[in-house]
Amino acid sequence: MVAVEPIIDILNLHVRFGQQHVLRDISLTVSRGQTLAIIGESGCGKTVLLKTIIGLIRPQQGYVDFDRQRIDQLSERALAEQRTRFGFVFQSSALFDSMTVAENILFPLRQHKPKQRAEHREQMLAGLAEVGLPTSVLDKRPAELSGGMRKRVGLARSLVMHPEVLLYDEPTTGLDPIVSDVINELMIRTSKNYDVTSVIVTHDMKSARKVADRVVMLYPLSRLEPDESQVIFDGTPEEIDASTDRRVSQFVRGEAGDRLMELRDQVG
Amino acid sequence: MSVGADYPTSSYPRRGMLSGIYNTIADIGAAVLNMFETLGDMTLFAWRTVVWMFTRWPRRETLYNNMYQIGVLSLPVVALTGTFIGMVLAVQSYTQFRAFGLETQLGGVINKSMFRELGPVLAATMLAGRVGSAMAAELGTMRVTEQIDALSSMGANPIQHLVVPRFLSCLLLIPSLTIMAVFMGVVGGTAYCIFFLDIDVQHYTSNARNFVETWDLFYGVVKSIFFGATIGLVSCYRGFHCKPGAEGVGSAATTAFVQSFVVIIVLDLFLSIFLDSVYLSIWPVSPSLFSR
Repeated sequence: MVAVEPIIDILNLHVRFGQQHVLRDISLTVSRGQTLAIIGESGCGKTVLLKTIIGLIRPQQGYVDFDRQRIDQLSERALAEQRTRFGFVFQSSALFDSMTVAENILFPLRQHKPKQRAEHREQMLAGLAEVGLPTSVLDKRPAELSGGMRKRVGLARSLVMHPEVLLYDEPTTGLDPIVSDVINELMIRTSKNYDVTSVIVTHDMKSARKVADRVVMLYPLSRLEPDESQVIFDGTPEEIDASTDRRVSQFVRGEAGDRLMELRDQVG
Repeated sequence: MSVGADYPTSSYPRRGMLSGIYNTIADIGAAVLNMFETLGDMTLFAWRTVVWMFTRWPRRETLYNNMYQIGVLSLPVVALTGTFIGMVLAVQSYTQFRAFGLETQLGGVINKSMFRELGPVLAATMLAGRVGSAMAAELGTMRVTEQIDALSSMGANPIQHLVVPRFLSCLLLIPSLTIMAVFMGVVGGTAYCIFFLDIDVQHYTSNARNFVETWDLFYGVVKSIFFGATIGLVSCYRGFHCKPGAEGVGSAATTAFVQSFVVIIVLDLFLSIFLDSVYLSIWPVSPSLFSR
């Protein structure tokens, strides 16, 4: 059996905001080339985990190793350099609204490869073609695009630097089922064509099943006992359907279960 | 002053007579801690801005665009308010000066006030109101919509990309705005005195010229540079530390203006004292309007 090389190693990670503990003792290893879906209900810390991986949030305890380097110990310059090996597709797309679509996609190239200016346009067009958008959108402002198109531009902007790891924050949230499926297909195609490691934060089970080859489920700390692990499932998409943990199966089937009691309490 | 991190206030309700005192002390303690943390954070923010300013100069296109938004578009409003302030000064001072028969000296008073105090403070107030709150709202929206995180995630430094060009534009262009405010104030005051108050042109202009020195222009411009830096830093800091939602953005814009204005007024006092002592150490004669 060939040993799979880990690319991201998360060890005993704790993240707090003021008095609120969001992540507690998370340990996770992501192998090179893997497509990992992190699922869980809103507020369980999925996005916080994703942002901690890339160093946008600093953990209070524990650390993230990326390619055998501790992210929290890197200097500002070294961290910026490492970040070029990542692509981050934000939930809100996070396109710069003061720039056109073309300028948005060109931004990372201008920032990191200022000397290869002649090749920028070609690379930008290749990125745009990769996400299946026509060149007519290039001169548009992000506000003029639909949600799905903005997500695709966001992905194109992440792809132009040929990242080794792609981090997706709720890529299908807020999109209609058809566009969601287009995004799913794009994620699958990107994993194959670019040979990237992907970490997808989502609560869309259909998307997780279709795209991921490993699923990790996080649970909100507020509903866990002090000694319980926050990672309540770690396995393949097939295994999650067979899970006997009620919390996991309810999430997979989209059933509120005990949470309906909250509504009854309020009515009563 | 609004605060950066939230220290826990009196979270343990206690009963009895001492509970009120205990809670008050705990709340004051938390507020003081928060204030010092914000102050430290702001200082660090300013330091990083200055370091980035010398590390990598912003792209010409970005800088020019910011300069246009911050400087050129502020000119009309600064010129207009400057003119009116000059005229108001004439109206307010005229009766008092006339009582002593000194109305021909009005030019000196108006111009001296415009050069040293009203020009720089007026330009700074207009800039803080027009540009400072807009910058805080823009950067706040960028924070809320994750655009600042997107910059960082692409290995770009948000301070270098967003703060440095805005800070530099405020710093470099506020002297021009101040000079415009002063010039229009002088013009407005002169026009009002000559055309409406019928003060003799010859006397008015000769007094005005005698009272104002190059030092006064330098005095106003130096103050304005500090004001510009304050507006740039406070507004960008507020935008960067914007709380989520529409309310967060609105509050960032308001706080940016209020804090810039408070700092400007406090700085104004200390800079005036400092510059006067510099003047006295160079020319050890008390600057008096009526001693000439």
